[in-house]
Amino acid sequence: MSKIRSRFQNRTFGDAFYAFILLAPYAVIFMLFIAIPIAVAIVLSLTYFNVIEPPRFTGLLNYITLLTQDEIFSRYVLPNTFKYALIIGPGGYILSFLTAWMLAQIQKVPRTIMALALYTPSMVGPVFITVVFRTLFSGDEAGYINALLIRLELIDKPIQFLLSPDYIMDIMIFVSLWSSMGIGFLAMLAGILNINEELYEAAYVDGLKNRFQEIIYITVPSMKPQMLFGAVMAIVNAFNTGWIGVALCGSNPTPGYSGQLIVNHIEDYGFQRYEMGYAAAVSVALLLMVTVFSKIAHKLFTEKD
Amino acid sequence: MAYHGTKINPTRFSLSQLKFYIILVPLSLFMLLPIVYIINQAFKPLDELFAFPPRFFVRNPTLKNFQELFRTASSTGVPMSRYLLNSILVTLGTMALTLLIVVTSGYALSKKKFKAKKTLLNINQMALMFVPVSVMIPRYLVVVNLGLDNNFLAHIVPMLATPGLASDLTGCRH
Repeated sequence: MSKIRSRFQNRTFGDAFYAFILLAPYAVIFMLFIAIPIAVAIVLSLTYFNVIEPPRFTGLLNYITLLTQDEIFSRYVLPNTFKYALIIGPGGYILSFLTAWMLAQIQKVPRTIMALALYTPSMVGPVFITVVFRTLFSGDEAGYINALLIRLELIDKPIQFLLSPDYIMDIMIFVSLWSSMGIGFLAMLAGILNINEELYEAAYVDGLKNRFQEIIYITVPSMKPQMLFGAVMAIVNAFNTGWIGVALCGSNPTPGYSGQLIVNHIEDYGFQRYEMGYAAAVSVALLLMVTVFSKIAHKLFTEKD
Repeated sequence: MAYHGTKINPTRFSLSQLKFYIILVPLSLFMLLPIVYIINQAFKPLDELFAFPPRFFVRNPTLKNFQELFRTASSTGVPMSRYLLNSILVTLGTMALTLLIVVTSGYALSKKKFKAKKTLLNINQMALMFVPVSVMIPRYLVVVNLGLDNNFLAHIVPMLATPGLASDLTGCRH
């Protein structure tokens, strides 16, 4: 339909001109703060740069060091990042989808209220999350979680939750899952609600038996764009929320490197040791990782036709 | 017919919805707990804050913490009101400019026809995966070179690069 119209009216030139004007602001910002930084990061990653002296070209040395000599990276940072991302990414994603789907099954008013309640944690931001969970998991007996456990007689002296290598990772995962129902969740909720109801009726006439089949055959296939958006957001979020560990325990590196994620590693090298070249190489590695994961998500959720 | 009214977005309550309420209501309450907790915490007097055993809800609510906040703000060198104003200005500025930029580009990408559209959409899709922290060093260099450091705009302009929002308007609404 639209093809026919454009052939008749032949407005392609006018459209291109207006599109250029409309896109220009976004394009400029995009170039300045996304495209150029990525390019600079790639160039810097090939140098030794300590901020004071001008960068010195060292070829692939940073990458070789990263892969072969950085023991902290290979022993703690990489396994931590994968563990964290694999739990937070798919976990947060499935949680978002299931809650969005359940919310779609109830009436409008309670749904809106509960969607707001579920969305709030992802809105509050880093400072709030830090304050709340540092008081909740506080290491003395006035800390709420410790007091609760003592009262239930599960433990007899308070646990240093945020300073002990045994707990920090689990707490990070808990906090991230708590705040994971963000924009992806809202997109999925909107997606489920926008599905044509006749599809369900038709499917039941054709022999659909239960709600599980309903999800597999109708709901998910009908909202692939939102599913993809949610998946990519979940992946980005999983790699992006590295600040939680450092914010919770208040130091970088985290105790015994147990909560050290790749983002903290970049901060550690870039802003504490001022080895910008090396930090840039780690950044490029991170970008590559996120790209690979997102490619997998695209493969899974884009239309085959 | 096998179809027994298990509709998405129902208009009336039926007993079949009960199971969803049983899961969703506790979940929502649980998600809100930390927020309720911190609000209660703000109204607790000092002895309740460090009391053992700690209580979830405040017993004797007081506004002392808030008075304290504004008193230290006016009597010491911490200009709390200035921080508040800064935050509001940055938020409003970012919001207005983001809306302007995202709406114009989203409109162009979804409604207009031009040759590079497919490529631009693909670039934007790629940029969705962009992790800002990973390039914060070069970003900082860009900010300095634009002369935006020591400037309000340093808080606003980099935040405008939001491929997520742009694709929300275009990619999801094909």
